[in-house]
Amino acid sequence: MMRELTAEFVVVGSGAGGSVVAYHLASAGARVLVLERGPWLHPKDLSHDEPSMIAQLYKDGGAQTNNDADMFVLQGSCVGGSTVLTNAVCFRMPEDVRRAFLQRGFVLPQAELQQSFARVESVLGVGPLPPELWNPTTARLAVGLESVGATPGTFQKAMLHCVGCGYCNVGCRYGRKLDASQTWVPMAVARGAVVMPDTEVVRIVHRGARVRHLLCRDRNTGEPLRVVADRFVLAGGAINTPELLLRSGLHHGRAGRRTSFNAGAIVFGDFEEPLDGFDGDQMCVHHIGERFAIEQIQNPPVSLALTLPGFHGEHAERMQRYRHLAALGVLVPTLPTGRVFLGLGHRLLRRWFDHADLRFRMSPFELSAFRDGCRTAALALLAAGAHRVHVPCAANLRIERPEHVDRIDEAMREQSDLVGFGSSHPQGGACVGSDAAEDVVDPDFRVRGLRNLFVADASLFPQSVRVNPMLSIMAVADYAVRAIGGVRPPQLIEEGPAHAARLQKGGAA
Amino acid sequence: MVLSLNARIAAAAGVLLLAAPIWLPLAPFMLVWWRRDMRRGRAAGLRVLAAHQARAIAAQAEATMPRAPEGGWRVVAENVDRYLAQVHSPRRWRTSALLTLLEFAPCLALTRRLSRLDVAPRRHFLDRHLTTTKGFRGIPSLTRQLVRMGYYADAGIAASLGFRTMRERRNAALASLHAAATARRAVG
Repeated sequence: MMRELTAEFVVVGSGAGGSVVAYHLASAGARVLVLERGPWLHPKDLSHDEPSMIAQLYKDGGAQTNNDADMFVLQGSCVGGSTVLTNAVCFRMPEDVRRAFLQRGFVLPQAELQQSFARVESVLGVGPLPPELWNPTTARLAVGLESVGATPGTFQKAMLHCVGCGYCNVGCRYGRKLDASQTWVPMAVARGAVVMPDTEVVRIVHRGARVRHLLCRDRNTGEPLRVVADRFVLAGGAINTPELLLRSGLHHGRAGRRTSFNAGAIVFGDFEEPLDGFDGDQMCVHHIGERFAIEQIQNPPVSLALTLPGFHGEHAERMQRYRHLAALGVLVPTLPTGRVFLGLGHRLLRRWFDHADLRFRMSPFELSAFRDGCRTAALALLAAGAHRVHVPCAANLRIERPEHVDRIDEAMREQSDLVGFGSSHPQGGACVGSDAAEDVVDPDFRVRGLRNLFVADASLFPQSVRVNPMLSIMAVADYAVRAIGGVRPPQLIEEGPAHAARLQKGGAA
Repeated sequence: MVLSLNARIAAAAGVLLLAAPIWLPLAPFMLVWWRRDMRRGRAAGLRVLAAHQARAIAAQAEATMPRAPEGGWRVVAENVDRYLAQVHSPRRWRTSALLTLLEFAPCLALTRRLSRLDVAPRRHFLDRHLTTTKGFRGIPSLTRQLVRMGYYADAGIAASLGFRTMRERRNAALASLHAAATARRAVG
């Protein structure tokens, strides 16, 4: 007989959305069960062994791509979700994006959303990155960006006593990054929530307008499991949430549509003298523009090798210049033209194709914005003193002087010309909106047609939020708990590592 | 027209189906060979890769990388195997299948399989056919990422690039923070 678990609320996913919802519901006294497909790795389990960490922390071991295999899509698959893999970068949702959401019927009242942002930021201890953590390429890149008319800003980050090891993207082995696994998840557990790692939700079972239970599977033993609850919250993230809806036969033709990204690739500058950019925080300065963003990103050897353009001997030669390389990532907010769907393989050979497919191609408009971003980044690197720039395309471009950047147009005519192109910020797929014929989720975060099924993750976003979305997802989840569980979050949350640090600082003062 | 990865796999399956009269009689022998090759992989300490897949990785690394890791080219394959062994995904078979494709891709050009080619012709083959992001040849080209991962994950290779681990960093402020954090981890 199948094992059965019961709870008042079941939250599927423990990332930016699920962890916040779980905390608030547990704080209100509800019995909360959090189901997480990935493992629960604590800082002591993490290391700087990049292949091992990529395999354990990333969905599909970091090998999730679009259908054409010319775009990678990185998502976390562990307790804490993708927040464990971020660089702790925090941006509030731009006001024009909130207004665009509003036009589609996704109402996020400004005052209440700002309160949610403030509450989430206090839990994450968000603050400006201290200059002592800057890596040695940062000052140069800031000068380079300024000289091309960009406005370099310092990142706001969610961290506490960071040691600047430069390995944020494989989890923080020091426990200094205040991601969901260090904040919301343990806080929810302290309030009585139960987290079940390595548990995959296979299907949502419903009768009429009510979800009866979830069919799950223990990923270690294969044991099936039935989870019964009063209300269910999907928070597995963009791609996973629409995939689960499609698997369950819900909203065929609508779920998975309107998937968008902050997508991009990295431009590298090769400097005469060694810079040793690995010695400090990976991401320190940025420029956020209308059509593209430029964000510094300095990677350890394996991750850098995976993103550095060039084939075979040429790539190896460039890697030999590792100490001399500085890098700027170019990100473009894409239109919601991506689609998550269950392909023929899934229907015919489920054992081998047991995952959703993703279709996405950049439009000429987005490609043009991306080229402009690459040109600006290349000029900034040259202005910063680079003697050669490597742009993310298959062609071996020689860019050594500002006039050479025009070669980028010819070399990047379509998406498949790019190398290292991808996204860590998928959004949409189960969008909120007022159009019952098109939008999967109603403005109360409820999946249309099902009274007790809600969504609280990035799949809600009807368009890309344009900036790193972690904070926006958390704030929207914080706002959503009113509709999901009738819970009104407190003005201030006085617990968690950031709060303890503030108390300690106050006490010491 | 851009064909999706799955469409290419389906097209390849279609071609295989049409060629069934050729390979079907050989299928039992292929199955025996495959099993033996997997056993060889296990005997060599590999957890996921078959012996020919490991050889393909080492062969590509030898032809495209400047110097061997201290433990030899085999270390690259071992690092990839370690990575794959920890990936829990229904997509993992595709990654392994890519390596089989890489090993036998030169046979389509009527030469010996990749690991049996001398280094110079091997490098020539890789440079000529597998330096693309498009079309059918883009598929075995994806293996370069696995080779890079396995190669640069070697601590000696990373050190030879000038990379310094946290213990070796010059930034005194960060190094002391690291030492304090490590001490706390040890106590905790």
